[in-house]
Amino acid sequence: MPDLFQQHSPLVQIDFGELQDNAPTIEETPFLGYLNLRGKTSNMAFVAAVLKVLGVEPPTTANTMVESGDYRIYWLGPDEWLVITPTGQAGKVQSELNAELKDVFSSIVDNSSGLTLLKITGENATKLLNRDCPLDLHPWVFKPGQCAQTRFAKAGMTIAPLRDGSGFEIIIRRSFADYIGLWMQDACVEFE
Amino acid sequence: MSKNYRLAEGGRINREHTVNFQFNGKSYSGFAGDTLASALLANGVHMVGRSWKYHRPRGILSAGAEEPNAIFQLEKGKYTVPNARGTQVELYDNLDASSVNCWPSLDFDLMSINSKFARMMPAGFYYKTFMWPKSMWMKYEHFIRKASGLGESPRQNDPDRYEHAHAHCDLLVVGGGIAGLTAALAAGRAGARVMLVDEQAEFGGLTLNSHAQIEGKSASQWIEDTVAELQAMEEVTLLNRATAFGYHDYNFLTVNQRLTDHLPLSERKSGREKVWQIRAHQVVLATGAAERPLVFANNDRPGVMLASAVSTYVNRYAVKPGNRVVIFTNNDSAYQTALDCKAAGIEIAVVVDARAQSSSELANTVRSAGIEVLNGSAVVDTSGGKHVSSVKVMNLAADGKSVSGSVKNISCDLLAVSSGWSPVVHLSSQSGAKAIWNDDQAMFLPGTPTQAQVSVGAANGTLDLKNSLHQAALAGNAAAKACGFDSDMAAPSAEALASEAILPLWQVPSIHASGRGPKAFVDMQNDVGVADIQLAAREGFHSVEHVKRYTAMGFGTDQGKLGNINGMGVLAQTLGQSIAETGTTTYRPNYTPVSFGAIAGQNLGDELFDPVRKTAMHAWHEENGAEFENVGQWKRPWYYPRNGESLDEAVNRECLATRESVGILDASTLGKIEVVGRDAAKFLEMIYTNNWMKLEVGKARYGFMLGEDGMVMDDGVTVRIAENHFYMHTTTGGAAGVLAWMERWLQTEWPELEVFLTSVTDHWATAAVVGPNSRRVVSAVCDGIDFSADNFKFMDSRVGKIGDLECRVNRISFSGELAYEVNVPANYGRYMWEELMQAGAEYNITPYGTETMHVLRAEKGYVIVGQDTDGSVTVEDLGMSWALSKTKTDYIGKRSLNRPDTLRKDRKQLVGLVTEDPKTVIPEGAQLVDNPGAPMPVPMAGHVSSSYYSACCGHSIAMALVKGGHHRTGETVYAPLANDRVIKATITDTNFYDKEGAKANA
Amino acid sequence: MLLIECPYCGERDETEFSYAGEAHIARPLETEKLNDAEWADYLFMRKNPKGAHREQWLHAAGCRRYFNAERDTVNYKVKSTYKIGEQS
Repeated sequence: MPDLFQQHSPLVQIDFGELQDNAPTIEETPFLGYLNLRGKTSNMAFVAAVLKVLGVEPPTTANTMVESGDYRIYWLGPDEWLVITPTGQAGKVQSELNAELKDVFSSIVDNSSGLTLLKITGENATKLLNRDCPLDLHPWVFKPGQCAQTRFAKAGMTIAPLRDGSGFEIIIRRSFADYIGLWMQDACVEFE
Repeated sequence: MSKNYRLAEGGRINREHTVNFQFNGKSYSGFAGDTLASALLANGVHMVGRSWKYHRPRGILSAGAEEPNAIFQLEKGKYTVPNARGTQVELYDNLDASSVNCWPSLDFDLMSINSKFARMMPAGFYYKTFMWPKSMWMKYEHFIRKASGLGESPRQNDPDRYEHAHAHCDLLVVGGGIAGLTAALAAGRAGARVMLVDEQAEFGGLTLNSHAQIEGKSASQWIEDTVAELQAMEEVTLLNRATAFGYHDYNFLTVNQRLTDHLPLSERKSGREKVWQIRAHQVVLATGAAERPLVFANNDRPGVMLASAVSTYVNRYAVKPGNRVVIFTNNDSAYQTALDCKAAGIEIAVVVDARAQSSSELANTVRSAGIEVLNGSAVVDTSGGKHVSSVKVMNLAADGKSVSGSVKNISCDLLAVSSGWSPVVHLSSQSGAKAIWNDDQAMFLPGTPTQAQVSVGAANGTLDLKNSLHQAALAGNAAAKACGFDSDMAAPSAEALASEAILPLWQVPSIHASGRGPKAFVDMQNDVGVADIQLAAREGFHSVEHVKRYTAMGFGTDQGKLGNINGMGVLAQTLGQSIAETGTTTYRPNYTPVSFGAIAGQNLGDELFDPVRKTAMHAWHEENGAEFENVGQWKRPWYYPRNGESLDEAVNRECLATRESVGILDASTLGKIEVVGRDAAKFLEMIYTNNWMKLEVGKARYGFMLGEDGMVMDDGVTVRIAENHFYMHTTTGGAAGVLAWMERWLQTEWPELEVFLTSVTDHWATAAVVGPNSRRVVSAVCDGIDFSADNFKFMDSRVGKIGDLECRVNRISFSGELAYEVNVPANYGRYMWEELMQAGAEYNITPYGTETMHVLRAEKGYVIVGQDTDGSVTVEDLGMSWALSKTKTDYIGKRSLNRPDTLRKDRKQLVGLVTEDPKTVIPEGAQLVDNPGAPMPVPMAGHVSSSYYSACCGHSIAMALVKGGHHRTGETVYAPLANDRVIKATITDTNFYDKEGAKANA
Repeated sequence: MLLIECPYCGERDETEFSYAGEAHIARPLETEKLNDAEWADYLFMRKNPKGAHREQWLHAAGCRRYFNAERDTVNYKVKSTYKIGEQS
């Protein structure tokens, strides 16, 4: 494994530490492993291989996510999932999946450096996100276990409510992260 | 400064808090809770502006959003706001207001000379007079704009912040009067998610003026209690100072909330306005109704005011709009104004009622209060200079079509008028429900809903309290039920009030011939009178939409809220048809004006207007002085100036350093797509123009993608990583489009193909190491790869390591040099870059940006899709037919290559250009001609697509698309420029440097 | 602002989608055998009706799936949406 200290987060130029008093807390969890998993759930071999390596079948209900040990699997499409692993484990999981899925129509692509994760928590978390996310984030509608791909301002994001109800995690693309960070900092002026 | 017009007690103003303000440079004071209009009236100021065409004196007419006259320029400089409605502007300390449309001043207006020539300026006057001769329009326009302008646009940048917010709810109630509050209460109590928006500072609407009782308490107490109950509900959101200005498809409403406009400038800290984008399951429109003015000669004189506005000023603001009032009505509601005036100590000269009889309970109450009522009468004219001093009253025939008898002159300083009510059907109409004319009530009622919405209360033509509350409770219950909540709230109780029928009166009959008497105004802001509409009809404009455009009726900042219905009535009468047949103009967003700032929100400036995408090495580029260029949404280093170098100096240095030793370019922005699956190669055969089946693993190939029209769409190098695994590069700008394009073919046309596509653009950071010393640099950094020329050939791909980090190295070149592209996961991008910089130090490794990249590739004649192509260029036009497979029977776009147009011999083809003067660089985009002296129009031969000074060649180079250019090598073309300069150039091939390609293959 | 029912993700805001043109235009097989008029018909000719129109949409900011929609071009109502390969 390469030296983790040589990594730089895409948010290296953004400081979320000095936000307004009533602003939600914005915290990056950098350097997680992200695998883009493709396959057909109609193919039992695919489902079985995923179950074997990740300990859980890929969710088939749209806009839901499952957890299994250290892994989380987000539904992204009818044949597409995002597997989140702890830091530095994406390569290992990718190899295991590749081995199990050698003869099965599937694709496992490492996108670990392509994404990063932000936790947005606190009283005004929904308010901040709904500043320019068109999705209804109300807890009656968007519950733990659900996830969605949508947009924030003019960039895409994958969002899920946190289990403890304290807020949301959002997964954003590396190249848009700085823009989203600046947009959120600017939006927080409201929360003086 | 006089305060004669403030009542001693009452009103919803705070007399403890005096507010000082300025109007037209003069100081006044009012109280907190006043509007600018009520404060001016309290100071005895009625005349606040001049009309736009005739510059007639105009006064405050209404007390709400419908106000056509009392519009002001607020503040100066960067905080200035044009055309603010004084009837809605909350008074704040040091407010600075001035009249619009007066020059040089309100009292002495030079342009009022127009008034004397009014008869010569009928409807369509500007069209008829100034549009001809055409050449003079520009001169006329300048004068007309100055004479007719409303407020002035701000000339400085807006210092305020604006915000957007999305919201969702079960029920959105628009309008916080008693009907809206009741609907919200019913659904709120049931537990539904409710939003209630109201344009005023205080909830309660017109009922705030009322002495009525609801549930056995005063209306104002009931309002206070209800608002408090709603505020305590967790799932209910109340927005005040929030105007719903647009009702769009799928119950999507836009609401503009004014957050700081009511505060003194010094206290405005946070965002000024917030635009809410609300998606509601159900909508209740409780937008109320607006009273109509009556139309008669000189009905625009200051001191003429809507009857309901008089009540509002008296009851809500404790202001006497006059000392002696004449009330002129055709319906019952103005009788309440008589009672309100009496209670406030205003002398009532007479109530003039157009109806032959009036015997409702309210009318009788007025009579028993000793107030004289003249039935079957009409005000036919007013007198006075800048304020009404008396009115003329005559007998009116029962059908309202003629006046007769002697003229009574009645002195007064206030004329309260009411021509009935118009439900505010704007949002209902915008939602798709076509408003329906109701003859009995003489009003347009909301039409049949096409979305999940319902109108209640006055907005539904229900003008009495009891029925409004009943409707509202039903609507609130129904909305909650539709969202799955059990709701059965009883309507708050109130007393019923019977009223008598209205006598529709669109214009008081004139005692003069048509167009001869004094003007009777329909649309006061746009100076449209009865005679203008009649003239338009005579000239053949019969559609109400045409009459609107010909006369400008309803075009003002008030959008004809007061005048339009009267205007339609006048038109219907003129054409001898019903109003139902005449119809309404279309109600469109925005209900009231919305500032540009509010629409932009925070999406402003270099950083937030559009996403700025950055690579993993961005901070390094910044630290090392790069100038940046926008490429699509990406910020790419453009060049790295040293010691104050100009662009040209830096680029010349970067080019020479790269060609002579080694340069390094951040190539991370190229699109990258993994193509995986058994049918990956087969799929690429269809997507690209060339062959892919036989490409060896570990090898790369350049390919063109075409649209089905055969034109070049994208290009790039694709590497075969494994038998069923390709790694595709796209152009920087084309990445998202190419992925969507390929997904479309897979998902919709060839679902049987076993191929998965995954974008990895953001995952990889890429450094292109370019130049004769590039092999030395990359081999010093990357382990585990044999970099020898024989074992790592041009278009080979290898996997190695930088320390413990896996990297992929592709030997590809966009410069004609020996070059390697090193790829690592982007989290390690900066680490890789710094390792390469360190290893390259002994070779003076030179970072270069997009400008040098462009020069280097142009020296080799390499095209950039989107610069040298524009969607109308084929591979053949580029002279690159070698990239077209001769063996494949089909690929996307292939069939189009045999279309007659694609086969034309005179298509624009890519050629090189060398200028006669080696230092002259032809501007990109320059048109080329064969004979610059030819008579106009000069036939065009083509245009320049790329053009640079090449330090390596020692002369300028250019690429151009020239008609039949492939057969014109050696011929001369000319680029005539806008400054009359003509640049002479010779057509060459496009390869200007190292024609044999020895360097790339070194 | 439309609310469009993605056949996978459910109702989403219009801004998450992009339009992909008229639906149910199959790419001809053996394109090399088509004459110019037949190819032009596939390439250029579109219905552009007033009223019900079958269209392709892409849930671009969502699940990235193409799907079909029947939309009324007069009142913008999306009557139905259905997956590629399905009938409405």
